[in-house]
Amino acid sequence: MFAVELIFLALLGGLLITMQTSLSVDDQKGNTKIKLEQVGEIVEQGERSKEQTTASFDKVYKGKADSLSFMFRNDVLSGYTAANMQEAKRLLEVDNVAVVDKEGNIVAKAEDTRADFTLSRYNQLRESIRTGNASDGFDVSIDGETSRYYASAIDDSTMAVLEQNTEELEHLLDRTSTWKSMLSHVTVGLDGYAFVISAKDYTFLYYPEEELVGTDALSAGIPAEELEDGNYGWLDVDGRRLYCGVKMAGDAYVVCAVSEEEITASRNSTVAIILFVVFTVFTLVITYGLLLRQKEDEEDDKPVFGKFRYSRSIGSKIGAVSVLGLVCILLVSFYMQTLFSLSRQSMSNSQRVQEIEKEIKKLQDEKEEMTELYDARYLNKARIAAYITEKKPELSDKEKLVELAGILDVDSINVFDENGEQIATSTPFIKFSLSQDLESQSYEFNKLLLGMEYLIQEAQPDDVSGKYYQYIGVARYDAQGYANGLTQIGVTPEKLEDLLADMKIETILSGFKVGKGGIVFAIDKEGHKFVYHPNERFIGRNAKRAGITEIQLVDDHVGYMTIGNDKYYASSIETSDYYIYSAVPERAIKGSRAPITAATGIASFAELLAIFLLLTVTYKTEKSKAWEEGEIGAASFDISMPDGRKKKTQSAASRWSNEVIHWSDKTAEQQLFVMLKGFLALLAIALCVAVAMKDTLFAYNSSFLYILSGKWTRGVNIFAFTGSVLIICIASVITMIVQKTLTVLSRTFGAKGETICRMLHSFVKYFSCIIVLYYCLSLFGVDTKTLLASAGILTLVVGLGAQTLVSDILAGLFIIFEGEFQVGDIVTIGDYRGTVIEIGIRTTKIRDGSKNVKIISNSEVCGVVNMTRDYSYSWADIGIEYGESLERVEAVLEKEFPNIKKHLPNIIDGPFYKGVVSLGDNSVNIRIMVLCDESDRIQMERDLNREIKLIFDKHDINIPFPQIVLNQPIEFKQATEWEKYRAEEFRKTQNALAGNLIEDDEEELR
Amino acid sequence: MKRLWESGRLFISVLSAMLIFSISLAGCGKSANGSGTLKVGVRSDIINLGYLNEDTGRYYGLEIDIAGEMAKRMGYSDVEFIEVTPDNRKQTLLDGKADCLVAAYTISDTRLENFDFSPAYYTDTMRVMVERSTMFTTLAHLKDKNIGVLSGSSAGPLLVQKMTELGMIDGQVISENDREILFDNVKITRAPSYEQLSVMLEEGAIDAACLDGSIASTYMDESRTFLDTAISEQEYGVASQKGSELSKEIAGTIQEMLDDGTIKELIDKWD
Repeated sequence: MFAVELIFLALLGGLLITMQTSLSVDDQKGNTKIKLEQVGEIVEQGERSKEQTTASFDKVYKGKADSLSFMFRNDVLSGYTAANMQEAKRLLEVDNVAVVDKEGNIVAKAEDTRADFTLSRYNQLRESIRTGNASDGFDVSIDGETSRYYASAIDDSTMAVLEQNTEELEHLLDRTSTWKSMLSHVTVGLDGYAFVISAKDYTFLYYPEEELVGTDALSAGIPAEELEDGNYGWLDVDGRRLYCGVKMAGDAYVVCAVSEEEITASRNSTVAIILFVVFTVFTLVITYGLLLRQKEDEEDDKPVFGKFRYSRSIGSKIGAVSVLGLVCILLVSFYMQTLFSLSRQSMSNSQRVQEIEKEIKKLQDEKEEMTELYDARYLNKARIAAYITEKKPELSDKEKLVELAGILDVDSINVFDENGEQIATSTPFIKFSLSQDLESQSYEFNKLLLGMEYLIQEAQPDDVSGKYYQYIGVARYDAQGYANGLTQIGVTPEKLEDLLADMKIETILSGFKVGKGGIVFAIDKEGHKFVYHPNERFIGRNAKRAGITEIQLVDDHVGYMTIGNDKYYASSIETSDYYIYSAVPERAIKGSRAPITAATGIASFAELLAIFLLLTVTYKTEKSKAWEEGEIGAASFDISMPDGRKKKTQSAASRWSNEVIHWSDKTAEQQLFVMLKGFLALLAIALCVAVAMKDTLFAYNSSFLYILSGKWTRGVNIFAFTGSVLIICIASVITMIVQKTLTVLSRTFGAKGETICRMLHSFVKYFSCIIVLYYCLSLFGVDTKTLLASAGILTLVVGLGAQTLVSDILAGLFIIFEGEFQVGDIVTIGDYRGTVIEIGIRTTKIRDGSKNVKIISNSEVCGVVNMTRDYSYSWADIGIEYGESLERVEAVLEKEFPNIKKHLPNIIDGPFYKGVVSLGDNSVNIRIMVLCDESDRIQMERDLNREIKLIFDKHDINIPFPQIVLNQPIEFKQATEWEKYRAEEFRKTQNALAGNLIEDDEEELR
Repeated sequence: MKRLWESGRLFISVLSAMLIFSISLAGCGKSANGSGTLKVGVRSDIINLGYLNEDTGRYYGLEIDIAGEMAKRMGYSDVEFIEVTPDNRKQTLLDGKADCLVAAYTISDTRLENFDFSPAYYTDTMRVMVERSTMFTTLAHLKDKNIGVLSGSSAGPLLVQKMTELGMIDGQVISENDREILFDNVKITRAPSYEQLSVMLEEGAIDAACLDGSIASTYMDESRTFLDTAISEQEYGVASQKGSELSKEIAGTIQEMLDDGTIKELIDKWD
């Protein structure tokens, strides 16, 4: 039978794991798909960024090449001398400059070069002479050193060539467009990641673990056939099993991977708990069935099919237990699924908002770096312009300045003299001078005339157009080295503007995608307005009016929220200006739990049905008489319930004793109950162990740890419920241990110890209850401190008003908690004796022998005598004459006792002769006692008396009774006259004789 | 109770019987119906075709998979891969060190004189790769230039043939040594390896490189481009000893693999 159970369990376990995994995988597939799209965009963005970065780098160096040729053409540098080349190299801030003829022969150079410009590899440089424009840059690697080359034609046969190591460019590209920079901050699922494999040689181009980069992906375990665009599946990478989605991007496969542990993280504990419940239910049903089979007779078996018989009594009982069990399984399964999906969703939501936060941070860093980079570039341009205008002041005319502005790619070049007066400009605005007004933008540049070498002004929006504009000035010096003017360039910092636009929350959030139809949105902290929402209808609307409440407008909120007409499950994060939320529609989370619960339900139902049939339907066999009647032991017996049913109960005395009812003495139901308690204890202990060893047992992203971490919002939700269950488990395990210890101790110590231990036992119980209640309430979001404070006020109110009511209720609770008596017990409360028929919230109802019901307020229940025991005693005290021989009476009783038992079938045991009770005034009193049911006790006494009387009569044994002896009345004689006289005389004489003798007491009386 | 126990046991025995049955079914597929080892000469330097991972000692690529599948179908229990280069592959086969070659071996008339070839399993295009900075776009630009090829590969002769066809050169060798062949209007430089060929192209030591498309894609990057003129199309076949029994078997197997789409699948896999 239990083998069948194990097989069923294994089947169910297999089914659950498969279903759960496939649902998780489906779920992950959806997420990975979205992530891949996002990664695709990141890669495209990276490509664009790479092009832009390279283009802007090229533009700068082409500008430098052009300005070099400009200087040669305009005799700013006259002659291709080594000194001039060095000067140009310094000014242009490049690695090497050279003047090269059309064939590629070097005319002049600043440094030696590995490049042989005569090779066709350098044909692109010659294009500058052909087209007249500076040539685009290209890289040549020689012996591992990569340099980038630019050329600008000086005349028809010579060109200025710049050689620049690509380190700077690579550094710039590293930041934005290498695989690492693009993918290192991508998280898939909770802690999954993206990696890249070259489609050419199957090496890892990027992997979060550095040592794998550059190694062979195929030998790391990835099969080549799995690497196809749009492929999803399991891959083994370096011994790790990952669920992956593949996307082809250029010459590489981008793979978004989530570890198997993550997908199965919460699966195992979820399945384990469901299986545990199923196991418990199955075991209980089977055990119950087997126990019932042992104890029930087979009279009501009904033949169903051939020789198969169906046991109706077992069937109805097992049926009830099975249905109950099935309901439990369904509830637990549904509950676990909800818990599982909600905790996963909470984690992924908070993951997402953290990603957003990181992105914002990244953009801020980028802005700073960009500003620095561009400032340096602009400064170099200003220096070139200043150098040219210093060396060759006659070039300070509009035509040349416009040409130079074009070459340097700046908006304007202004040349000022030592007084801050504008000498020349490339712009149409002439007659300008540096302002002496402190507030003015140009005032700052006066510093250059006072000895400052250069000034990079911050970009600021133009007063008129609102566009960002930036000015950079460099001082010019005369032959003695005194500042005699300044040259200023004006630029539009487009890159910066782009970045500022990118940094807008709308732009950042619109790039984020959430699986399962989820959204990200932001709410302004000040006005509580939507600043971004994928649905434009919401943007600008007040969040509260859309359904978001005040408590949801905080950092780290986790929970359900309503936006418009839709309910979402969301997590929030607080930035300097916004609350940012990542939310998933309610229906998307709930999707998976119904099928799994249903599957669990159906499978368990089928299996329970099979077990049910196995238990109830038997092949007709000889009736086995394994169970013998009357074996029920002393501690457990029948009592009748108010509705007349007979139930088993435990005697009042044994309930508080440490005695344990022997297993075999218990009824099937009691055994079932003990087993259920055992399972619950097992579960509680398991959960305790899990809590204690959480770090070793669980991956950091498992749902279990999430619940323990307490990162969820307090309130009436599933996490609070689970937390409460955990607290109750821990508390009950601790209480159980303490109580067991106390029980052991109480056995060791004497009576005093026993008393204290019992008191502690009860104290521990109440104490843990209060603690658990306190913690659980706080988990459910009840402000327990306020509650404690208001408890005082509550007490006052109670004290004034409903005092009796409350004390009744409390007393009622204590009666049940303490187990003073139960329904069906026979008790004496005060001087009222009867059967307890109900323990209500306020009153207790007792029915006496004459079926009158006495209703007692619980608070008045005191001095309870619980007389529930398996047997009551009934006795008769009989007096016999002193003259009667005691031995003869005893001999008669010995003979007659069996007859008494025969006459009174209600006697359970006895009668017993208990000896002589007393030697009374008139009789010798002996006692005869019998065991009977409490309910028979009174009648038994009467019957017993009758029997004894009859026996004594039969054997001529006299029972003494008070006797009155009647006598004949006597006739009294009258006194004669003589006698009267003599008497008078006698009296007088006597008084006279005794005259002086005063009696003491007479004296005292006086 | 005993009955119940027995019914449970029956259930278990049914289950275990099913289990055993399924295991034995699985076992059927693995019967050893072949024996011996097929020695296959393969390339070790062409990613996606025949490549040896030095760390693991494992070969992989399209040709490796084809060789493996072919041997399996022919009933061999094991395949031994023997590393060959364009220079030594002919001799390896002639010496019998390898039973056959699946080594990017182009089917050509001259080779058909010495060996038997299976039907072609892969068609490759020989192309000329240049650095973009050279500004070359057509084969005509390569007049008087230095073109690199892999020593021993069929690229050299095919390039010369193509250029002669186009009238760029007269096809007469002016001088020849281990490193280079000089024609009237072009110089062909022999590189010892594809790796070296790529380096020479990068540094400008050669102006262009002529190589198989499948190999070229490994060395392709955004600073390089193919000239629009294709040099030739060439078909790779499995070569084996002329007139041997094995030849027919190989030809049959490869034809079968072509017919049932196995080779197409493998090409997709390694694409």
